[in-house]
Amino acid sequence: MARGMVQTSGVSPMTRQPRQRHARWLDGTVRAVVGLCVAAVVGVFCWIVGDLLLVGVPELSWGFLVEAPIDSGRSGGIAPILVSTLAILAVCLGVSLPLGTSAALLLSELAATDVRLVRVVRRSLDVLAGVPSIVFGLFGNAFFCVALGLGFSILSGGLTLACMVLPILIRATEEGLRSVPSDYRHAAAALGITRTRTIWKVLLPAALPGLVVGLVLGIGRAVAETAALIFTSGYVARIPTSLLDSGRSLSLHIYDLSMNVAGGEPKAYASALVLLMLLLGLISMALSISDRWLSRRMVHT
Amino acid sequence: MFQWSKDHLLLLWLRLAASVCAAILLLVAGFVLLEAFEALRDIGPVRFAADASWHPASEADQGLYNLVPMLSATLFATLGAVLLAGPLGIASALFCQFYAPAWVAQLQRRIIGLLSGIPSVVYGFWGLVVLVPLIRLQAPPGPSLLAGILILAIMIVPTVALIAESSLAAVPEAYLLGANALGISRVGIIFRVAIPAARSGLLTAVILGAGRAIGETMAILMVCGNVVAVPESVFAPVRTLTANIALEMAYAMGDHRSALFVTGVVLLVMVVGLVAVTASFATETTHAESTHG
Amino acid sequence: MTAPSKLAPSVREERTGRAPLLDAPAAIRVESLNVRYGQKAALRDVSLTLREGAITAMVGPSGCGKSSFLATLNRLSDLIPGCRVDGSIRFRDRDVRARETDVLDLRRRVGMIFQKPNPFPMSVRQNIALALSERRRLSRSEIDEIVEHVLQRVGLWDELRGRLDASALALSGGQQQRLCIARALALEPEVLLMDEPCSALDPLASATVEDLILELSEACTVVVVTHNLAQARRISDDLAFFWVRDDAGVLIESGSTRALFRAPRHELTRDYLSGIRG
Repeated sequence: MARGMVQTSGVSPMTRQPRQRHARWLDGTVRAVVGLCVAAVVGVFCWIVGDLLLVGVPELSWGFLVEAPIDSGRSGGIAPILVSTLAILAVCLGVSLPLGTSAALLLSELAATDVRLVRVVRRSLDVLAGVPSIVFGLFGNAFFCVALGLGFSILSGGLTLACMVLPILIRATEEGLRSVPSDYRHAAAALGITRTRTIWKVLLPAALPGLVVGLVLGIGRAVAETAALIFTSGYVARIPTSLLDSGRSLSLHIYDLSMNVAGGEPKAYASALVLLMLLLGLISMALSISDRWLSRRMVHT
Repeated sequence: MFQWSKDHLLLLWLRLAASVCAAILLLVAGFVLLEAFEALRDIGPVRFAADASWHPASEADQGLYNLVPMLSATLFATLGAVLLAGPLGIASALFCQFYAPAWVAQLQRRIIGLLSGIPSVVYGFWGLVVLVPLIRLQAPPGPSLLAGILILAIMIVPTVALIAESSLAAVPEAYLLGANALGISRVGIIFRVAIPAARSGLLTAVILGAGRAIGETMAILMVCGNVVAVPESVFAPVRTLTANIALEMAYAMGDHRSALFVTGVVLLVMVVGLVAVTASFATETTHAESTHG
Repeated sequence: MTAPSKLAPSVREERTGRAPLLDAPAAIRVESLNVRYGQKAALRDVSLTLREGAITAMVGPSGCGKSSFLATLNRLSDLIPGCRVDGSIRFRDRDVRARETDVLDLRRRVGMIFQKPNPFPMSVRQNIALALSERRRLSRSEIDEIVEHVLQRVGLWDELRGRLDASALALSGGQQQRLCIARALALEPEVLLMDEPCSALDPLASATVEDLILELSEACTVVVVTHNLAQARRISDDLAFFWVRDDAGVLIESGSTRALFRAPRHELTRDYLSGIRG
């Protein structure tokens, strides 16, 4: 049963007064409105996924995944685009994962001693999480491409995305670390174990589900991103040969096919379906990990 | 303080890493401002509101730099999206908390979670191939403020729903049981007890949704038509601040490029303002908790 | 801290046939200790000497600062935000509170057992090896030897010998607590602080741990916080009685357990030990 509610409808032994009848009518109306809203949201979700499946699936084939695009992507596949996407993702995670995990460790383990730094870091991450991705794109272009001279490249794109996913990564990791019982920390301290060792051997393993959730959400955000990549990683749809090559991400490919290539729609459907499946898979994974983890924690306490 | 000599290296590294993370915000704001500075100096802030229209050029004198049409498009689109998504998101949260049996609520949460995972370019693509043709049937040309509002609304429903539900879930069980014990109806409990108690959380949900709508780029770029004009009706094509950057950044030079960074500054200021507003709620509630408890 | 010799042997003496020397040197000497959490005082002006080789029981009502006292002895109080400690604590010849004290080394010499068993979420073997292998590189066989030795000392070896690689979280509460004791013993501590080690256990497991405490006192000085007066009487040589006065914990009196039970100097002690108060 929904929370905090004692089921009383239909069995009220009281005589029905007009006031009560009014309340019942109101209850029914509100219930109907809430139901309609939920149905609308669910309906739109099914519409989007259904439409992409219906039109996209016939376009999908093994060849689509392993061939290079031909004629601006009107035919052929998306192989180089997948490679670029993975390369951008690798750069992004390679930088953001160590940085984010460390920052999360500071936020959760040293909150008592480094009060001021923790407050500054937390505030700025909150703001950073709200910065629009197009502004990250502007920043990435000005800083990585121009100021650092990396040009339109996978490196520029990946680094820009790293800045963007840090808040997500740090929040999930910190939550994971905070859910580790403080018993473990006290036990380790009482045994005279250094913090370094406590973190490596006890806290990080115990917080692993949180780390994985953060990682998966971060991957999701990075793979979904388009606006921050337009002027950082560029448009080139060839297989990149180095990190300084420009590379087109899958999301950018969808944008390009649907807006700039007349007749690109069928392949855009197929690409969108690939991206959607990838992301829904990732999100489902993150949700089920955190669900199972939550229920396990409840059993324990 | 931290006296364990063996942990000094770790401590040093953690502080360094965290400082780098905090510095990114400064770096982002700093670079965007730095690049915008040229235009603010050459063109001056007044012309961004007073020029006849937006016809940028690489030099300040030859171009026109009025951002008001874009700003108004962003505001209208955001307002419309929030008006739609606010009730939808809060209704979804109420449904999960007060109406649905546990497994249905869980399913609904899943759907909301998946909805939040759909990338904006896919929303944009769907809007382009499904929504825009539908609107064209009613009122050509199709790409319009309305399309933008609808797409944005769908996109921010998950943000609103997730935050709204967590704030409703934080309403103490005792309040609800107490209200039940008084024989108050479900509607009464929701509107007189739960929603007032979760008020600041619900407001935060809507505001963060608005922040997301302001910053959204790809979807809006794909369905709004991108005509620079203050919209006269919801069926008129518009160009938002974000779309403006995405469209012109590829070829912008000199003052034009700098003017696009000014657009970025405007976005940054709006979003940071919203975050600051929600942060002030957060401190308010913690103060309330500490004085009561 | 002198007990009249005419008294009958304590329960502990009867059970073990041993008692610490009356003039045993101090293992830990605490003088004018004050502990505050933020603005709130937790302990006020506590002075107490813990005799080498003795089992000292600390009793008193909840919230009288017994656990806070314990946490200052191995500087675990450092981990508690807002906790401020004043006064002098000497462990043998070292100043516990001094800045240059090697806290990690101190904590290896002054072990601690918590109220709730807190094994790490790893195997039985890893639980014991984690702290051991930090200081010096030990071979697998050396570790196994220590693991067997300490598990035997806590009476877990026969129960667990085939399950050393099973998760410690799968053990029963009593087994977990004994594993925590074994884990501390592996470091060969000189003092063992126990914060209500039996209160989260069922009576049978509690009795096992109680016997274990008696055996441990052969090798190290033991301080045990307990709510169970009968237990304090059964196992301790010395007793320290805490009380709450003006919202802060104070030490009312301390001395040999026999003497305190037989002839308490303070009225509060008499009432508490006879069950009238507390």
